[in-house]
Amino acid sequence: MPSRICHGFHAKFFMKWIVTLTLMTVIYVHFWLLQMDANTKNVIHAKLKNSLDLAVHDAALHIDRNEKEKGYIVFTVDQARQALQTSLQTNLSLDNNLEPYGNSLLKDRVRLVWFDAVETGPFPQTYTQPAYNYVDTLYGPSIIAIIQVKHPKHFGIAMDIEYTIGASHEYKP
Amino acid sequence: MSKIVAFFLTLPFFVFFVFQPFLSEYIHTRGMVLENVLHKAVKLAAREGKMTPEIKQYAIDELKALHFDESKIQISGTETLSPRGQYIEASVTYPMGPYFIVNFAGVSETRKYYFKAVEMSEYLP
Repeated sequence: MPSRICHGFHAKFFMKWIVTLTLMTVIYVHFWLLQMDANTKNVIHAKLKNSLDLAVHDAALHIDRNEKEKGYIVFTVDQARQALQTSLQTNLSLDNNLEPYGNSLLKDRVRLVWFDAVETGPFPQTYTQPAYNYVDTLYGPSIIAIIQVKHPKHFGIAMDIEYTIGASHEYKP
Repeated sequence: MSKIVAFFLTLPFFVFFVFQPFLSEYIHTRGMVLENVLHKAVKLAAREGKMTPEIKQYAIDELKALHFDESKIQISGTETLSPRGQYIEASVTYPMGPYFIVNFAGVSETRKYYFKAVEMSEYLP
C-alpha cells in the first residue's frame, strides 16, 4: 500500500512537469517562429533593396553615345530595361518571367511595377511616385525602378504582406 | 530526489527556450552583415573593373572589426579587368557555426553562409 501512494505521488509530480513543459514548448515555438519570420523579412527586404540597387546601376549605364557627344544624356530605355531585368534575374535567382527558381528565397513572381528614365533637369530635383509612396532626390539623369513581391511565408504563422521596393541610380560618366 | 531528476530531465529544454532566440538573432545578424559588406565590395569592384586585393582586404577588415574570424572568411570575385558593361561577380563564404544552442542530435554543424552579387563594370580603359 505505501508503495502505491508513492507511485501516485511520482506520477502526479512528473505529470506537472510534463504539462508545464508541453505548454512552454507550444508558447516557445510560436514566438520562435515569429522571430524566424521577422528575420526572414529582414533578409528578403535587404536582398531586394541591394539587388534593385545593382539593377538600376546596370540600367543607368545604357546611354545613347551619339546624344552624349552632343552633350545630352539620353538613356537607351529598352536596353536599360533589359539590363535591369537581367540583373534582377541574376541576383535574385529568377527566370525570364521573373519567377523564382527553386533555390530562391522568394516564392512569387517579382513584378517590375514602375520604370522611368529622367533625363532633363533642373537637378537636384525631388522625384515622386505617389502610387507607391516613393520619394527620391535625383542629382542627375537617372533611372528609377520600383518592384513588388509577396512575402514567401516560409512559416505558417506569417502574415500576408507585400514588399514594395524602389531605387534610383544616376548616370555616371 | 524526484525533483532533482525532473529538473535535470527538463533542463536542456529550458536552456533551449531561454537562449535559442539570442543565438538565432546572432546567426541572422551575421548573415545581414555579410550581405551588406559584399554589396559594398561589389560596388567598389564595379568602379575598379575587377575585384582587387585592396577591395578584398577592405571587406575582410570590415568583417574583422565586427568580430568575424579573418582566417575563415572567403571572398572571391572577378579578377580579370572587365570593361564597362561587362559583369563582375563577387561572393563571400563563412561558416555558420552551431545553429542550435543544445545539440540534441549530436551532429556537427557544417552549414555555411554564402552570398553572391553581380554588377556591371563602370571601368573605362
